[in-house]
Parts: sequence; structure tokens; C-alpha cells
Amino acid sequence: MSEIGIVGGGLTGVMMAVTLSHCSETVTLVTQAPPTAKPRHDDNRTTTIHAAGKAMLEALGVWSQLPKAAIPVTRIMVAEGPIQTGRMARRQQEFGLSWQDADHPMAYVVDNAALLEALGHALAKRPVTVIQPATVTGMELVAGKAHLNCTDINLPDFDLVIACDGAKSQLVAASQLRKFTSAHRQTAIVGSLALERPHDNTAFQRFLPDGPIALMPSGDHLASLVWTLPKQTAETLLSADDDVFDQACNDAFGSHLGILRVVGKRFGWPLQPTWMPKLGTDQLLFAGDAGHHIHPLAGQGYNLALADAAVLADCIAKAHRRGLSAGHASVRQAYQRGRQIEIAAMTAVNSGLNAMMSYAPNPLAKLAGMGMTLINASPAKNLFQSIARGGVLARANLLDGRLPD
Amino acid sequence: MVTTADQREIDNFAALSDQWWDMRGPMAPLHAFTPIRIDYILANIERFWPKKARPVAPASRPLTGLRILDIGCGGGLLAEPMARLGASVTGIDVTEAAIIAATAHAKQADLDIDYRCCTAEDLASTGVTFDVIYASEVIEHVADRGLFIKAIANMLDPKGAVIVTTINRSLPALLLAKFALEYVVRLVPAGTHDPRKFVRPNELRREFAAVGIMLDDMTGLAPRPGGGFRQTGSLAINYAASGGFI
Repeated sequence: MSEIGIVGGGLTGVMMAVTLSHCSETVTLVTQAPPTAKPRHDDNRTTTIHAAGKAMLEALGVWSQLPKAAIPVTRIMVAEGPIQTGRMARRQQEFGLSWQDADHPMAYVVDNAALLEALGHALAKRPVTVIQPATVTGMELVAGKAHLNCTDINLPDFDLVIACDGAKSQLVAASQLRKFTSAHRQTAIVGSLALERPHDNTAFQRFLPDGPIALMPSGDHLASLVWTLPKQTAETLLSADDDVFDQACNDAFGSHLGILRVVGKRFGWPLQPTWMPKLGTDQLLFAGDAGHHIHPLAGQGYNLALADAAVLADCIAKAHRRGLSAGHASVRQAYQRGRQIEIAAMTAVNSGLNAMMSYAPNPLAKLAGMGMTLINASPAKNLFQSIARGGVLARANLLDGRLPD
Repeated sequence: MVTTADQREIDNFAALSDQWWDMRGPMAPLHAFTPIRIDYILANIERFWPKKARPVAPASRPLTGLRILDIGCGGGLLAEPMARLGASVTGIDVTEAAIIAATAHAKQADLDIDYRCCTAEDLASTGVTFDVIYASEVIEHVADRGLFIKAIANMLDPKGAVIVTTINRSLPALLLAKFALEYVVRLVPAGTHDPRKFVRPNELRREFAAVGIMLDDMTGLAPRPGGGFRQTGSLAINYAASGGFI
């Protein structure tokens, strides 16, 4: 009923195309490279998907296509402050805050390469037109339709365009909408770690004065590392030998999982959380990192992208039930309404936690530590746990595992 | 000549006609008001012509088989969605420029809509009938309301539904529609509304009852913070009414 264009062929763009193909027969995916292009073989980055996101990917027929089983996360353990040594270490419980639910995993960790492959298979089965290679530089409205300016080819016009082209989105830049971007003070080091002891399907998070270090279970005796550090420190560690890096890593995380050893390549990920008050303008919407780039410490970035697609699918389905095209202003308003709370909350919580735990003077950090103890002991824990599962701050059919109607 | 068309009103709308489909232009408030008007129209079509009783209609075109008349269709803001949902739509407006704009836009959207520049009584004199007749934000602009309502009754199928959305003649409505919208925030052009022609719900009910149509549902429509509108129990400002022959 509407002609929908999606710009960006990454994890978000392909997922968006698969999702919206359930609302419209004419979905076009515009990408720079083939959407199923294999990432570099040494790129072992992973993505964390919460329980609601898994339900969505199952409903979309993506989950069953994963070439490699996702690792369930059944426990989350959080520690505040550097590792203790000597007598203190024995007296204090190392990870003061922990959630566990062995029967209902709160999240899953999948290799990016595996996820992209599964999305590619699902895409091939859907009525989506893929146009590539095409570099989109901007958009203009011509006679009520969205016209994409493209350096390579002439693209058809659309009722609605969704920018899924990442944190450096050309379309977002060209829209000139207000965008708040944090200064680049920190870099996250991402990579894969071999563990001496089994992780027991636990996600670990330790808040350190320099920034949090997080380990997500990603395989047998294998964990995905997201280590936030000041820019300079990260650069030094990124260029250091594996031995030096391993030592620093063990010193930071502690001995809970035995000796940690880096495997494969390490990547530096400049941290510049962004937030936009408006998630789109006339007939152009932003999704995924193009619209909101959050701190990766809690692994919620892709979950926000999944919820973007799930909510938008409902908005478009509703417009179609009204006989309106996806380009109608009510779609943008409903999308904005459906997404702003979760995005603002996630942006604030993730940046806030990071700032509070990393840079705060001692009393504030202590207060945060006390907060953690409180969370651990109160019903708030259940709330946090259900938020971590997803589908609470954002409501959509797909997040409950149902296709949009 | 007795007519429901008011020449000064026609001139006001003619000036706007090339901007009917500019979502950011002077018609933006009407576009924002469209989803809730569609919801009300669809709910009342369902009330009179339930989907269950029309099994031929495919899911994506649920209004297939229904003859709908849009009186005062303007640029086709409501006529197009109805046509897209499968209805066979006739749209009439006394402003020729609006009909030209509507026809051009429907062609662009690949929709088959029968647009005509005429009054309701002109069309009624041809003897056509419709399953659903709606006049959205129109009745407060017509010169002779009695004649207008009679024309609707003449064209309505015995089992048909009539749907009206309009604005109350109340102090809050006057303040909002006339001064706030036209003069203060300038959402709609000054002179769009003549408050003397605003209609109270009771007057509307009485005037339709005089031609045998019972308006048995009335719902308030109020703006929602953050954009869009919602249904409300208060008919103080904007309201919608629907019904059929007794």
C-alpha cells in the first residue's frame, strides 16, 4: 500500500527490511554493499539480543536461520569498584549484584556474522527489492514523495524513507535536525576473550574508575569483551602486544573466570553517545544507531533498533488500516511517541551509569554502590530484570512475538 | 437561486487549493485531524455495514462494494483513504480549485475517485444514492443547512449511514477555533470560520430528525498533547455525529 525505502544494509537495515516487508508489498533496501557480504573473518564482534528481541526474530523467521546457536544469558552479575586484594577480597562478595533466571534467559549473545547471515536468508524469502551499490547523500520531497539523491543510480520515489545507515548517517546529517553528541572522551575496546573457567551463561559487568568492563558469554569458555576506557588508555592498549593487553585485562576484571586471554582481533569503538529529540522529519524516519547511539555498556544498542522496527511496523500497519500511506504525518508522530521514552531512558541510564561510576568523586560513586545494594534487595530488581528482557518500555506486536496485523 | 453554497466561503477555500496536500502548509491541522476522522468514519461504517455481512471484501480493501459520498471533499484528504480501502467514492465540493487539486492528486496516487464540482442538492437532483454519506468539517460552512440536510436524506440508502464532523457553537469552540487557530497561532487562515454558522449538537440532532435521520452517536474530538487527536465525552468544541434513517 505504501512504497517504503530503507537506507543501510547492516544489521539494522536488513532487519528493518525483513520487518516492514510484513506491512507493505513494496519495500526497497538501498545499500552500499551487498547486504549479505561476509564480514572479515577475524571480526568476532557479537550482538546482545534481549528476550523480546529474540521473540521478534523468531516471528520474522530469522532466529531459525542462525548458522550457530545463540548463547543464552541466564545470569547477570555486577561489581562496583576495582578488584579487592588480601583480606578485603575474602570478606566482600566480589559481584555484589546478581540476577538469575535459569528457565527464562534474559538475553542471548550472537555473532554479528551469524546474525547477518540469518537476516540475509530471511531477506531472500521476503518480497524486498535490494538496490546496490548505491550511496545515498540526501533526500528531498518532490510532489509529496521522498526522492533520494544517489550518486550511482536513479532510485524510485518513496512514501516513507527509513535511515538505518548508522551513527554517521548521511540522511540524518542532511536533515539538519538537532542532535546532541557527547564529546569523544572514551573508547570501547571490543574483542573476544578465552576464559579459563566456564562462564555459566553469565554476563559480567564491573564498574571501574576508568570505565566499565563487561564480559558477555559468547561460546564455550569464550566471552565477548566491551571495555570502556579513556581515549588515550584505550589507544595504548589497542596497539599493545597481546601479552600486555591480557595482563591489563586480567588486572581489571579480576580472577572470577580464571585467566583471560584475548583471541582474534581487538577493535576500538569511539564512544560518542548521541540523542535526537526528533526521530525524523517529513517522510523520513531514523532507526538504530542513525537515530540514537547509546553507550554499549549494557549491550542494549541493537535491542533499541529491534524495538524501532517493531514499533514502526505497528504504526505503518495502523496507517494502512486507515487507508493512509506510510508517509502520513501521523505515522511519524506515532513512531516518535512509541519510541521516545525507551530511547531517552536507555540513553540516560547508560550514559549516567557510565559517568557516575567512572568520573564521579568518591562519595557519588559510593552512593551508586549503595544504590546497587538497594536494587539487589528490593522489588526494583524485578523491574530492572523485566526491563532487561525488553518489551516493557516499548510495546509492539513483534516484541510479543506476533507479526503486525 | 436557493443554494447551500456560500460565495465568500468558496473564495476562502479557493485561495488554499494548491496547498491541500502540503503536509506542512496551511492544511497541516486538517491532515493532523484526519486519522481520528477516519477512525470515526470506519467505526460507523462498521456499525451500519458490518464486514461480516460483506464477505466479498478482501482484508486489505475492507470497504469494497460500498458507495461513499464525501461532501465538501476539498483536496480529497478523506476521499483518498476511503478509496484506498476499496470503497467506490464520489467526492463533491463547491470550490472548483479544490476539485482540480483533488483530481490531480488522486491521479498521482493512482486512485479512481469520482470528483465533481457541485452542491449536495445538485447531486441529489440526479437521483443517485449512497451507502455512506459523510460531511466532515463542512456543515459549519454551508449557507442553508436545512436544504443541505434534506439533500443528504434524499441521497442516503434506506440502510445507509450519515456521518458529520463539525464544531460546536460554544464559547470554548469560539475561542479555540476562531481566535486561537485563526489569529493567534495562525494554524488556519483568518476568515476560515464564521462562528454564527457553528452548530450545537442538539440543533444538529433536531435538524436531521426532521428528515427522518436519527443521529444516535455523538463523540467529542479533542487534540492530544504531542500531536494528533483523541475521542472524548465532551462535545464542547469539535465533535462527530452519526446515524441513519429511523
